Amino acid sequence: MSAALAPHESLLRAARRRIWLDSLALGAPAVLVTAALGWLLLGSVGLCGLALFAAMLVSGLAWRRAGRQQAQHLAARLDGRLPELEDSAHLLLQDANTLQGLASLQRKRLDARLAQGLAVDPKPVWSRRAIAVSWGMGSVFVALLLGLGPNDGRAVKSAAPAGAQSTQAPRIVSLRLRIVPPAYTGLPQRQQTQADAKIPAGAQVEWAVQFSALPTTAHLVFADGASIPLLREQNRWLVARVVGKSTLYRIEALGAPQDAWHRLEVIADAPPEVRLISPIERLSLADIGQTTWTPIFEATDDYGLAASARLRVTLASGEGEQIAVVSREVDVQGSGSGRRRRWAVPLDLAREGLVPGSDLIVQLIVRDNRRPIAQVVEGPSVILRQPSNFALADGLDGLRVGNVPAFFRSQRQIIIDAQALIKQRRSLAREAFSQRANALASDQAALRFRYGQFLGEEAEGGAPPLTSDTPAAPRLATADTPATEKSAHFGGDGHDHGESATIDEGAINTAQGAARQFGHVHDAGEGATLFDSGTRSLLARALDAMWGAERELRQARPEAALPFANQALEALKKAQSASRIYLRRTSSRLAPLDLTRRLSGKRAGIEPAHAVIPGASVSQAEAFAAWRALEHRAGAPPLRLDALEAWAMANAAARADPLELMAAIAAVRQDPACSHCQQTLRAALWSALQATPTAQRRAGADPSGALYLDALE
Amino acid sequence: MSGALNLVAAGVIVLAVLLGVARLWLRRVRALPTARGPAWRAAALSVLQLSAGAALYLTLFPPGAASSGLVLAIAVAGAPKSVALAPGERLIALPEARATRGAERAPDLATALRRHPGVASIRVIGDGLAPRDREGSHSVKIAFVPPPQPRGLVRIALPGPIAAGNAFSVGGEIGTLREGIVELLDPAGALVSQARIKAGAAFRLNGTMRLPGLALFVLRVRDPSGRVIERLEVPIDAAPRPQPRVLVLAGAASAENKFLRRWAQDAGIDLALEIDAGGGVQLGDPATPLTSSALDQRDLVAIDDRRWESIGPTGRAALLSATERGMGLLLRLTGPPSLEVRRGWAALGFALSNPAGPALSAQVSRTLPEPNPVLPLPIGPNAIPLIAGTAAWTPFAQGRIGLLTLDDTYVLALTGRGDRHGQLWSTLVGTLARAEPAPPAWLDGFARAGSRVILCGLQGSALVQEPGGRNTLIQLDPASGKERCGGYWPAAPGWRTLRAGEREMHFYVHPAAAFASLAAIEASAATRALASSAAGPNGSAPSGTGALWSLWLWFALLLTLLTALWWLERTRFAAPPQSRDEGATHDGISG
Repeated sequence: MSAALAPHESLLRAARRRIWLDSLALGAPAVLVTAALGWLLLGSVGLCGLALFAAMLVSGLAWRRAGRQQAQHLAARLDGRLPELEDSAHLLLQDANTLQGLASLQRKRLDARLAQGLAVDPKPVWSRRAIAVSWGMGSVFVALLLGLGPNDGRAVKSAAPAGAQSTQAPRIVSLRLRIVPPAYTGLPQRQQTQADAKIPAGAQVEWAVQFSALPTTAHLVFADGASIPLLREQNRWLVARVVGKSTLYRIEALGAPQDAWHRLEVIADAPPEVRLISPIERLSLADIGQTTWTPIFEATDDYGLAASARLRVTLASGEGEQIAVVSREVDVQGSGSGRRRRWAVPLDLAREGLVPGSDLIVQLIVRDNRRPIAQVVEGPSVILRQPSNFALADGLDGLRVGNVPAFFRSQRQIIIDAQALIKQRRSLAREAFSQRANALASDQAALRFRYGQFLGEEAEGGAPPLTSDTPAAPRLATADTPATEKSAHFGGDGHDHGESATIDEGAINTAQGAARQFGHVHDAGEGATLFDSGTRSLLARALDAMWGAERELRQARPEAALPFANQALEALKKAQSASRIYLRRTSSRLAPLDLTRRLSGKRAGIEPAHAVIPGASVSQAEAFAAWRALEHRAGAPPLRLDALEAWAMANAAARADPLELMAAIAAVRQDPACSHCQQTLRAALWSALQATPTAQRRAGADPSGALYLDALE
Repeated sequence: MSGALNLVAAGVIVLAVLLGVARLWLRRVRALPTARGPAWRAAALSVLQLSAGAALYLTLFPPGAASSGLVLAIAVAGAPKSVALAPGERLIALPEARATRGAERAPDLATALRRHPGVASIRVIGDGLAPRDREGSHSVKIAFVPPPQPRGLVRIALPGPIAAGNAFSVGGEIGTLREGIVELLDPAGALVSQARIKAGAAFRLNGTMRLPGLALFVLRVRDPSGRVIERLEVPIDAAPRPQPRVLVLAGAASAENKFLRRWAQDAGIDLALEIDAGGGVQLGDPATPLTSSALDQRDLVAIDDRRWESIGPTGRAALLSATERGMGLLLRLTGPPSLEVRRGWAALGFALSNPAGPALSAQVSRTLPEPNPVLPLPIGPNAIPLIAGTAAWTPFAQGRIGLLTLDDTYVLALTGRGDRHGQLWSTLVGTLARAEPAPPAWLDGFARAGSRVILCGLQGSALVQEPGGRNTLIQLDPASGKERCGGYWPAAPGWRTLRAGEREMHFYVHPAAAFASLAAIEASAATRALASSAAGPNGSAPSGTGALWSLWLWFALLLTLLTALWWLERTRFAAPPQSRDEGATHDGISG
């Protein structure tokens, strides 16, 4: 047999294969579409899984379609294709031996035709149109699926805004501050990564910022509006600035999200503090025989003191209206170092010229080591006083009474006793009354003698007063005996050395001096023609009055003695504070009288009776307006942040934490709708404001209450 | 309401039925005897119409199904997560019962009752019914077991409007919290005052409102571990209000008057000082004539005993008549009072029994205002002590008269106690000065967002302004009668301003979660009251199954009747119109 007459199995197989391939070609686009869908939905897992599944499905379907091809289909196709087969192709597909009669004849005829070269092609034609349509639709679907699927980064971005250099907004990735304190403080440099910092005044702060993406420009913006650009260095942005006072700052870069305000708190250099270590009191009296004096000062500072300080020594001498003040300054070195120094200043009193009745005032002026301008502080001043007044026996405080005894009655006591005696006049007998008056007179005399001794008057027969201390009362320097040596008048006896110096030196050119030098002096009050009243000392007047009081008391007339005794007391008191009485020498100048208006009752043009109290130096009006504006009520005034910010900056020094208010204002300005920021601003305003309390009004009665109150009356 | 609807519908149906029947019979009467149909048809039609009308009415308003035996368990605020139900109960959860699970949700009690119409009694689980469920006449029996008292604030007294710079106090009572701390924080968040509390204890915290305006302090209740049990905002209204106008009539110039003027200037009080220097000379501000019109402009007149004598009977009468109309009068004792003064003041109620006059010296004024009186105040029995030992006041018609026996309170200012001096005079002026005009309304209870706010005492129309600019007009509820109350429903917390005419009042609406314990107590009390007084179910005869079934029954009946009506009307049993002849011949001839 010829090869064309292959057994029908092979023909069938060929036909089936063709059908299978045809089906696969038809179904392949569906597989692709399913695969694309799976990839979109589930990624590569979906791609493989769904593709496999679809492929299996399609091949299964193809196999079934191929399996449906049977021999009769084959024969029919062959009959249709080859008219030479005369519609008997089924004979070809059967075994030749089984054919009989007409069939075998026909078979032989067919074989002969086949042997002549007839081609038998059992395979069905490709379903071209269907394949084309299927592939076309499949590709369209795939394209659609791939085009419309989510583009979350799996695909390459194609749309970029023109001109954008980077697709990401630059964010601050890292921020580093380097704080370099001024050299004089001696503090070390430090670095930190927090944006808020506490720095000493005058420190230089260097910022190093790194962004996630490169911005075109970056600025460092301060709360007061100043803005400095950051300079780029490789991938870091640097800027340095010397910070003088507390402020808020933030970093602004083009395209970056708004940064929050950060605080830079400045700790100012505190001025040095000076304390007095010795003596403890600021005013001390010179001891008797004191020749040196050493006040000790100590100063502390936060960063360091200058090594040398200036000592200001002032000598104030003189009495009354004639005080001469001499001041000099000298540099002194202290002990200790750095933050705490001590100065002990030995002073020689004689060299300074401390005479009785003068004050020596010492003050230390200390400076710290701040650059460029040091802070200068004048410490407390300490006074050493050489007293000149005699010690009055009235028990004065503050004046150290050296050896002056107080065992005799004071002038005040005499007055009190005289008053008591006056009161008891009725109850006492005449004898007892005059005895007591006499006793009082003796006391007054004794007092007069005592005080008179200081003026150099002779004792007039009275018993010397009892004293308990030795040496005894100073030797009297009468006119007979020449002026004694200085040791009679020692530092603590409290009298006026100036006067006695006059006596001692025997200045003859004054009337008093001559009289004292060459004669006795009896001071009788009114008849003292030798003395002009202008120059009499207060004490002399006191003695006059004492003599008058004694005279009256001796005559048992205490009522008449009282005025004299009071005068004496007054004069003694004045003498006690003699160097500190300042009297007005000229009268006050008043406006001239307007006689036409006087006593007419017209009040026109007169200033209001009450003085206008100046308002508070700091007006809080803007802050109050902002406080009321933040109340969140209907009818609240609008919030004016600019005025509030100006007020806050002007009054920064008055608040404990000025940056808190500034930060709150900045937060509200940045996000006006943020209610939390507004609450913070309100809280800051509450802490910053003061108001004077007003009077509470009482609530009224409702109509029935009013009726009741009316009916009560 | 439903009764009215019933009546209206019934009326309409009856009218229609009657018209129909009337039309039927009139037509029959008008028609020729031969054209009338058989009588039974007309009768049947009438009966059917009547019954159809009845069936329509019954379909629209089916008779109330009797109690189905179902009991609703209503879970309200405070109900637990899972509720144990008795047999025959169904669990309904209202919106406040957020924690309850597995319940049927209903927006309010009325809806739940409407959905289950056969219910005769309900059991309330939780704190108590919300105000919206308590009102309205529910005809169900309420069974309610009140929960234990809550832990937080069970009573609170918030301060009213005060003047800026003055102190206020917040008081209240704690529930069952065993022990804890109650704190008052100022608007900046700083702690102003705190107190330790125990269960059932009352507390009182003081604060100072330093600035004028509206501010919110915070009252916080914490348990010993520091956890916040309850947090409440205390609204303080210190809006600027008109200050009193004071007139001081002094008999002599003294330091006291000078410091009084200084204090008034600092406090913003309008003070006019007139000093009578004797001999017809007057110092100070221009003289105010003592007439009723001029004195009505003043809120307080402070007068010396010397000036009292010198203004004469007409002046005194003018002062007293002005005091009757509401002004305040302060009598100051500056020296031994004369007989005339003593008599005059005794007539007013101040019997000065100590003829030596002011027996108190500057020594005492430094110890003010401690409450122990140094010397007994020689004042009559009816006087109300104002400052212990030194001042007292009595009411006088609508005004008040006070007596101050100190004449050297300025010593307080000189010795560095200026604040005490200010407080002393502030108390005096505040107590005695004319009352300020009444606010336009007052708040009944507390105001919370999402709940009804009751404002009472409204005169005429009132407007509530919200921060966003929305204005709400308050309607008067005629049922409130003399109280003249109106309701306002705020949606969001915040300050509100009530304006009536030119008077205004500020009140604060708290957030919805505020006053939790207080609202729970109120709800439980009200529900308990409702439970004890609720009526039984209105007596409807038990007739069988649920209303829905009966509705369909009536509807089916109506349909049947209407069908029968329609069919009967369409078929004409009326005899065909024939002439008499035809009718006669028809009998004989067939065909």
